[in-house]
Amino acid sequence: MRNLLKAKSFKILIAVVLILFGVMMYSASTSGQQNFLTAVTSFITTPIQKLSALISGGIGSIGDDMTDIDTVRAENELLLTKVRELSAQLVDYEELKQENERLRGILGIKEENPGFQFVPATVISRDVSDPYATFIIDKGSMHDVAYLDPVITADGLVGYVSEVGPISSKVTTILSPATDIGAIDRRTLDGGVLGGDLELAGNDMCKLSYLARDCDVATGDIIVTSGLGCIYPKNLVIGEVTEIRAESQDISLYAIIQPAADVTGCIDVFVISSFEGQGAVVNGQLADTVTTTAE
Amino acid sequence: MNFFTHKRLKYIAYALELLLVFIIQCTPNLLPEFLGVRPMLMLVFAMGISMFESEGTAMWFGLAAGLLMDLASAHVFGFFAVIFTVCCYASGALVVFLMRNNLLTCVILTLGSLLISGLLQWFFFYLLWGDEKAWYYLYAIMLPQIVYSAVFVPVAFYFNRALATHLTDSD
Repeated sequence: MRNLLKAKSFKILIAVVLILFGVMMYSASTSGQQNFLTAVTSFITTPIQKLSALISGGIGSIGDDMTDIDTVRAENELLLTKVRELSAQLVDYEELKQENERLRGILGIKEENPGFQFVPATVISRDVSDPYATFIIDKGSMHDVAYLDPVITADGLVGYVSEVGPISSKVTTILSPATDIGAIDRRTLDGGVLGGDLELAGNDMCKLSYLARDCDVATGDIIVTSGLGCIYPKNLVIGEVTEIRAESQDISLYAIIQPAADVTGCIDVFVISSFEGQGAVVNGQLADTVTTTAE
Repeated sequence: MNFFTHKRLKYIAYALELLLVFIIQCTPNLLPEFLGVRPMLMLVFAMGISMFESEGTAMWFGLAAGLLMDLASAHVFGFFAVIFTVCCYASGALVVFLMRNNLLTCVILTLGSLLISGLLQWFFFYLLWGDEKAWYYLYAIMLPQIVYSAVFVPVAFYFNRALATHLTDSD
């Protein structure tokens, strides 16, 4: 065993670990952009991950199909063949209906906000080591996706692009404490900061902090983005208030929010690559993309 | 001169195994959740490989598994690569010099590696940042993930043993 410390493999291990520490330092210093190694390997892994996500979705829909057919068979064996055909059509219909509803939702957002530019994307990978449901999408800088772009579904806000590569991007969800979104109660206009919490993330919830003691926020209220900060557009639906609690460390209140979007299970998402006022103020500094906005 | 020696075939099989495990682990909604977590299969299978290889070879496969894990990770790039590389090297060395190569050893070493990986994540990403719910991570996320991942240890051990014994270098 003592010889092991003098062995060539041990020296290589030390060298590899030191190089990896260097890579970690470099990665940590380049927030928002994929490092070279990740960008290169993503050209290999992203198409494979896309395929596996597609197969995974296919297996799910086959399962639904079989369940449907089994139910109908039990009800009427004489019409088995006919039911199979109808079931298959029904599955197609349901898929089309869901897609239609999804696109209708997005169209609604688009009609309300004609300045929005959408990039449709698919979730190709989820991080099992992250309790905040960080995921990777199949679109990157080659598709006009940029750092800090908001990511939504037809139901509401999901998160933001936290790392961009050429053909894939990492999305940090609204369940993460790394997210700070200016948000308001649509009914009362009380404002707060939306972010994540480790314990709440386990239940797919997030929290709206810094609510004033005398605010009128109530259970069932809808929370939307305020537009402050110019990273997220105004009036994007975030979720619904399920509970209001007092902060333990100060006199403010916080509300527990059930996100409108299925943050941990979403497959198809949309990146808002451009909207009016985007990047007008980032980190307290004026950016060069200031456009007219009502914020 | 035949390129496809048993040794090379074995390494190609290991590489394909890690790629397949990576896809299974990262594909959305493929593996069912247990208490809200999914298993860390990459470490389990990398440790499975390290049981049947020298410490030097185990280190390279640990590095490959760690880099793949880092690709899909929310944490800083290289974090898992360091942990997996060191754990696989240590596992390979322990099996060569000190421990018997059986399922129990594999379970002990893999559980140890999962624990080290979980504790380092807890320390660097929650405790160090003053997250008030840091302790919640230990019992509600790390512990179920270790238990769930450990279920796959026998699969990884016997699968890699089959690969190693069938593709033993006899060239």
